[in-house]
Amino acid sequence: MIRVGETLLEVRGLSKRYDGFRALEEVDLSLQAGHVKGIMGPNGAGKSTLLRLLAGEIEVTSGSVVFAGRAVTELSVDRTSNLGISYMPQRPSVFPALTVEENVRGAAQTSLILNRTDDESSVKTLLDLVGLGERAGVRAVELPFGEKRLLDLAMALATRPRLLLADEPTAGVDRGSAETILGLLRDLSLPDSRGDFGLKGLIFTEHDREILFDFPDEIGFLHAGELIVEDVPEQVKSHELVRNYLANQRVFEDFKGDVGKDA
Amino acid sequence: MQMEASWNLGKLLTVFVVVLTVFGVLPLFLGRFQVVLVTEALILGVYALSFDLIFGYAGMLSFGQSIFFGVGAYTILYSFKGGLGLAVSLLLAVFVAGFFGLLVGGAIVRIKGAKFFLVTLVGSILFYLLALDNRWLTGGSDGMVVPTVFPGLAENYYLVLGVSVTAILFALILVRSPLGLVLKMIRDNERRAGLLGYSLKKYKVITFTIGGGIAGLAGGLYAYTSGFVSAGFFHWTRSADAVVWTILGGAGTVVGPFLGAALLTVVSDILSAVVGNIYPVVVGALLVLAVVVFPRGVFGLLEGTIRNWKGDSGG
Repeated sequence: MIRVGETLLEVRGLSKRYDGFRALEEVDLSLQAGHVKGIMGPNGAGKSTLLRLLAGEIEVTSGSVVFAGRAVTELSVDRTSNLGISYMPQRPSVFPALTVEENVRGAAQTSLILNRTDDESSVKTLLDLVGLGERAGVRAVELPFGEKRLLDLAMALATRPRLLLADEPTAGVDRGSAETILGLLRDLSLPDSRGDFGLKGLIFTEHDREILFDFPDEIGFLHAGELIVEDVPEQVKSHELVRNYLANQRVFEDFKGDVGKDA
Repeated sequence: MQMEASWNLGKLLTVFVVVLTVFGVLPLFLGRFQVVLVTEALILGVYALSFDLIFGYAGMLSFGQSIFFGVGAYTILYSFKGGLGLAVSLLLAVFVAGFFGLLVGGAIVRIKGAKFFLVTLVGSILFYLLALDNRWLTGGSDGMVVPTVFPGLAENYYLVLGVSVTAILFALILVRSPLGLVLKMIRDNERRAGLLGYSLKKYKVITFTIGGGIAGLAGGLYAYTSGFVSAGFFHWTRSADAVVWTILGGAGTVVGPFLGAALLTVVSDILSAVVGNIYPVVVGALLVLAVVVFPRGVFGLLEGTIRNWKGDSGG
């Protein structure tokens, strides 16, 4: 049993190399139970690599990951999932030929032989939670992008994770779906509603600074595979590299906005 | 695929009773030769179904299915030689072939894509060559006679019908179970199935074990009803047959493989009488045409037709 304030995740010296390319370099990171951590950084900084290493989807080059007091560094992704780490991938990843309901049921089911009523009711709860209750019978391939992301989130929660790793959960998503997703992530991170799904911690990557500086307890800034700073939002904001990054991002976005107006 | 999945129990039961009745009285209206043909078509339907579980449900294009067909056939042979009865021998065929499925599946489960197809193809060629060379065990290409008294055409037919129905019911329950859902998830999106906690290796091996067992059942029945087994049972073209029947009939459905196997058995038979030795070429051309005209298989075609007809009468 993990209580608020105890260490949920402890990462030491985590590195990943691809044929000499340093995707992630000596990252130290920890997450307390009950906390939300946002990870920001430019494209290619290693944000997805970090989450995929934590989830066990790709193999660690060096370093260690301890989850809830247990070494999970060498475990494959299905093992870490069963231990309570759930990874929501960067791009929508659904089961296209199956219905929305089957997608979530497949993630939630706890028996291989029987369709248990407990599982069925948790599927219904999850579908209603993400607002896809009315879409239960639709094949996942037919969903628009935003609803696919909502389905992704429902599936990621259906495994009853203690730690949720969400990779750019709102990127490319329409405003309505993005608000649903963020609202859920925020609600699930509040101490009093955490019991619903047993979620004890959340780490998510994000480009949008409005979102980033909104509700995470801590923010990490990744740059070229290195975790430059990790602290409470106010401290991170004032770090020189982060200020530069945010300023450049603003210039880039203003530029994009201008192009949009002309067109 | 969708219709089969959305059928309710009552409708399924009605269709089941009607089809069973038709098949039950069929021998009364058929000649001796046709009874043999339908018996063979049913066995090959069970065999195609075993492949469909591996391909249509779990998404693995395996050309190794003849391995399990052959193992099941030889299990029956040696089980009879050892003096065991029919029921025990058939069960033994299922278990021994299932065990081979476990071994083969475990060995090749990490291989993906085109390599997987090639390795399974080479696997069935290897088993064929081993069976060809070890005449003391298999009788080679001349084969061996299954030591049993021929029970009669009608008896064979009803035995095969009973086993086919059992296999179909088993498959229907399986693909509707949570395990069946996991297989479909792996077929649709391996990566996410893994992220959600399913060990791909484990479930692929389970599928190979079940598919191997059912193929062994078909091989055993084939050996029993024909009274003969040879190394040819392992031949890779027999693996290809299962692939063709399943794709023609409708992959990812339980009934489709039966339709495909039955259709091709009957069509090949008629064509060989009409056009003589070039019939495989004609069958091949028809197959290409069929895949182009109805890509979702015969079952998909039927499903579409029924749906349209319903829509018209409803509106």
